[in-house]
Amino acid sequence: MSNWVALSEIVRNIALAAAAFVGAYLAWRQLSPVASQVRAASTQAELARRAHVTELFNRAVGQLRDGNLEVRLAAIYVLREVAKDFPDLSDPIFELLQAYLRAGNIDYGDDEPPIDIQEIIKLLRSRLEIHNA
Amino acid sequence: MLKNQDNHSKRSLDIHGAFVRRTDLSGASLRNANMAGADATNAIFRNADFAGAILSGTILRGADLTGARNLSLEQLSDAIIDEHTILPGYIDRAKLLDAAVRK
Repeated sequence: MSNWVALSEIVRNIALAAAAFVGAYLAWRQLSPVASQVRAASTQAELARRAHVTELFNRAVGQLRDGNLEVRLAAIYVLREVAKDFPDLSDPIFELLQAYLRAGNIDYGDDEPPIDIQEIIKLLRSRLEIHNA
Repeated sequence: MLKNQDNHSKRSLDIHGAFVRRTDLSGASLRNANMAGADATNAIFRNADFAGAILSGTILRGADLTGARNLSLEQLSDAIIDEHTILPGYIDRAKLLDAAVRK
């Protein structure tokens, strides 16, 4: 009689384990599409953000040559923020600002540098700062 | 700001021929920088590091090089300086003049 009890307990435990396994599998089947949807949405958001930043970058590059100081200054600030938020764009922005200085059409005589040049130098200096160990 | 990246030390400034009068690059690492032909009249380079920087034809009239590091007579004799240029303590103006004349 005790053998039957022990056997029934074993069968019951196996059935419970199987049910738990099936339940876990079904839950995973249900959650899996949700997880991939979340991943896809995240990828889309990242792509949209990058497209937006690329547009900002391109617009700022065009505005660096604007005749209006405020527009040029705004472009420099945009580039600064882009470099801050997207470190992989930091190098191209560094190169771009140097190219702007090298372009050869800057001449403010013996006056103080205009504020856009000061901001560019400030950005370059922050990049080139000596960090003593 | 353009934050220092891990590879920042490999990158160097290239402002050859640029007009950067009265700008302030104090404390900057100008290692291997190309400043050839740049007009840095009255610019400030306090404590900047000039190791390997190219200063050929760089106008440093009235520039402040106080505490500038790793500047050599060779580099400075390629540059254009005047009596208002503030040289780092380890640069002897007479020797510099001599080196410039010999070139």
